[in-house]
Amino acid sequence: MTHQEFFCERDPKAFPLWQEAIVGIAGAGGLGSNIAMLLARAGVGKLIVSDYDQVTVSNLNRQAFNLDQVGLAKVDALEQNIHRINPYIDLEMHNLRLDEENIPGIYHSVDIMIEAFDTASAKAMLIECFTRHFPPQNSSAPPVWPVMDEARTLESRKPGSSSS
Amino acid sequence: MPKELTINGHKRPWQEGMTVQDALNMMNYTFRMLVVKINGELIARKDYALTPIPEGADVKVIHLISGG
Repeated sequence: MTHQEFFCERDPKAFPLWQEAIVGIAGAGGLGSNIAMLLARAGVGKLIVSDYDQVTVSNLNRQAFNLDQVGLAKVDALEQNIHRINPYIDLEMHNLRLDEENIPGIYHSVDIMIEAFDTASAKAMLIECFTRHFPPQNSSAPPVWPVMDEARTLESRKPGSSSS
Repeated sequence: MPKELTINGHKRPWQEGMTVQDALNMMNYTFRMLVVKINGELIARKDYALTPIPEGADVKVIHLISGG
């Protein structure tokens, strides 16, 4: 099946935007693995995912892995599962623990950064590191999701309309 | 008119020279894992006691919860 055949039913206006997008995900656990799978289905062009952990049986109640993947590195198992759904996505997987040293180099190209860690201290580290290296006052700085402010600051816009 | 700042959407009295740490004490925000922003700018934890809040500032104090 060609790239065009695989994506033939996608919306012609919206889909090119999805294909151009590079999304970073920090953590491939309960949040990160499921977010990665859904974005892959949606047709995002590239995902950059990092996690240092392996799949265990206790993960299977909520994480996007299968029983026959127990023992594999999470990023390896996730790559397998994503490719079974969307073989055309560009995947960059990192089997390592993220820290202030490696985060900027790994995620410098993303349009949006998704924080999917499980500890508050790691969340704080990512927010501080990203804010320092990609200051939000800079208009091209990628936003870190989830949005940490009140829910009312979330907004949705049609592609092509300007921000409020 | 009394001088104010906004913390997490709440209007509170502002005093000249009040620091981020003063604001946290005033609000009784004792949670250990916090992210503080003044007018969108991130303030490092080590600077809480050193950083004065300008009058009228919009201060966000985000409590980070584990999980995910």
